[in-house]
Amino acid sequence: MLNLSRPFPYLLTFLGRSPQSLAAKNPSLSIRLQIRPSGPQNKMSGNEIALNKTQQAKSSYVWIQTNDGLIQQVEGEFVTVCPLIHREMLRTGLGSCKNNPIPLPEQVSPAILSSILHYCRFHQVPGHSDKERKSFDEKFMKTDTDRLVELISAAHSLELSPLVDLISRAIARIIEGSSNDEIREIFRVPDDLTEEEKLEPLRNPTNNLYIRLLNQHLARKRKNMKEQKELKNVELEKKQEDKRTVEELLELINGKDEDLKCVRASKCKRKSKKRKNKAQSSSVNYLNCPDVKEVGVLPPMRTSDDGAEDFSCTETEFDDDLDQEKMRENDRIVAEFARRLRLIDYR
Amino acid sequence: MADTKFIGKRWEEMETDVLVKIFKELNMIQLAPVSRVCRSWRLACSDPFIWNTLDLGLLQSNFIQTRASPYIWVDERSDKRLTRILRVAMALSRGNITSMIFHFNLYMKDDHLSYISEWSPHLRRLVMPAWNRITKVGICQAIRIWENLESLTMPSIAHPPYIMEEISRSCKNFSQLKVMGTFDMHFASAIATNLQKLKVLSLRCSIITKEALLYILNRMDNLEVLNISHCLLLEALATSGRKQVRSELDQSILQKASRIREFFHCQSSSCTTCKRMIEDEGLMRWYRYEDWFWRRDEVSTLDLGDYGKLFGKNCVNSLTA
Repeated sequence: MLNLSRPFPYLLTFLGRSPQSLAAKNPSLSIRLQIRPSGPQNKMSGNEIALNKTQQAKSSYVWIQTNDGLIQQVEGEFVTVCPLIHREMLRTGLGSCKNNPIPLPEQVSPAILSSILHYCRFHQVPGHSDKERKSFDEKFMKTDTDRLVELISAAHSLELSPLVDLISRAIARIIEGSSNDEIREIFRVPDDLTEEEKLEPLRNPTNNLYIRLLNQHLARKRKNMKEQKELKNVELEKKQEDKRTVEELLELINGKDEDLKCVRASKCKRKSKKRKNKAQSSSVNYLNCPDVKEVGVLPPMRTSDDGAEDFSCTETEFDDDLDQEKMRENDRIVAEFARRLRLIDYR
Repeated sequence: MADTKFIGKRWEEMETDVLVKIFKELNMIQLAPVSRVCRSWRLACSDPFIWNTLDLGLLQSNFIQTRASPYIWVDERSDKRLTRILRVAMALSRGNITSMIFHFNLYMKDDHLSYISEWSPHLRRLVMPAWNRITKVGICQAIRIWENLESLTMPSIAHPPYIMEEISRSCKNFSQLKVMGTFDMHFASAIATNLQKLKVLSLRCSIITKEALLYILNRMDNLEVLNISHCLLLEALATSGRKQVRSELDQSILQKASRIREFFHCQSSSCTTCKRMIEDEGLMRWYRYEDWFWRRDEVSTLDLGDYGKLFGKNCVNSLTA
């Protein structure tokens, strides 16, 4: 490894050759020059240094490191079209030798990098016609969606906007032609909108009365759904407790000591548990009672987490008659609002 | 493969920026279902990068001209279609729209106007050349909500002062006005009285009276850009019967205009646009010419450019189905 510290450039000039011309004449030499901006001998300004580096980069190689730790060289021409690498090189001075490679963003794996290099190398050649370029692009895009997503993430992180635009269009075509379920499968995104999709509150920028009332109704409905879920959970817990008691009983029965006492104790346990359960269910019923009114409360915006509840049932049944009556009344009002919002020119 | 461990992470963290770039390729109708895929996708669907300009310049009303006010009759289906489109746009954009562009044959009603003003209160630019079915109350209410309005393209109306007053009252950053139609003293004085801070004024392809032009040049001290290209400059507006006397841009006008940073004018007999103006006797019949013709302006900040991807030709077709 050549240690190219300050004296070296001067040695070359002494030999009658400038470092730049040497690099130009021998591109394969992989000259790793590192110009130190500080120091009295080197009076070049920051811009000149940057320009020098760029010029050198064009004809020399730059060391980079992909996300798996692998260090490799890339030709200078690639660096000049890749804003991120170029900027990093100028800013940190890295990339000139194997020990100091420029670290690439984590989205860039070696396989993806080679694809990107393949793309850039083709387009950098001035000799290709527009038709050739277009057919190359089409071929390049004919790959599976996984790879396209990897490519676009990597290209975006490297700030290669033409490539990002190209892949965006390809992915947009894929999205266009797929249903939402297919999209979720292809892109492996979670279906975390189910409840909100159906019950999303409308934004109310100017505090429209109708929208406010509609939001209140939606909030009530959402709350009821939550209570239903809690009810379900309570029932589940009940079952579990029962299970445990049976097991305990079995153990106790199988156990030798103090059978009767344990049985009595467990009986008492069961009774007390039953009492507790009754109390719980009555408290749940209390919650179901719609006397607790929330007037003028706008439901939280989508960003707050209500908990992504996966309700398969849309219609929730209420045992409480009072609630039903009110719900029917609200439904009537809401239907009216919905009609008004949908058909603005009802007048 | 060494990168299998990274794939899981990559999926969940597909950057919003990347998603936004992809969604920018889709139109409004395609974006609606996409916004229901998952939470992060919904957020990306309403990004300002996609919605900063809502260009409905390809949407026209199905209308006929009538003899009585408002001289336009639009069929109900057309109105409903507009409502549907606006509803989708407002829901998806989530208040991120800063520019709205409408066609000169899109005759919207007060209801539509109040809807878009409520759901896009941060609007900065409005291009709406058709006010036939909009009432004074309706437009003033909308202007009141649009406090950040900076640029307006409007048709020539009979009594402009009320709108100018409303703008000066509500829109503190208002600086650009484009008028399509006839520009007389009435208009000129309304602007001079209420919109002293106006920086850009375009009257291209209109009829202007010489008096009005001079008034503007004398009284608008903050005017930096004035466009009177292809205008028919008249001595006075013709009352019935009398033939209109056309005027030229004489030295007095040119001298007064010299203080304005950018003065666009064109009164050439060889210019296509000027020829069209003469042929149409000053009231340019935009519908006879190319799609993009009415969208042009010599002033770069007023020129409308391409339609963008949000509402393309296929959107109109898919909606009429």
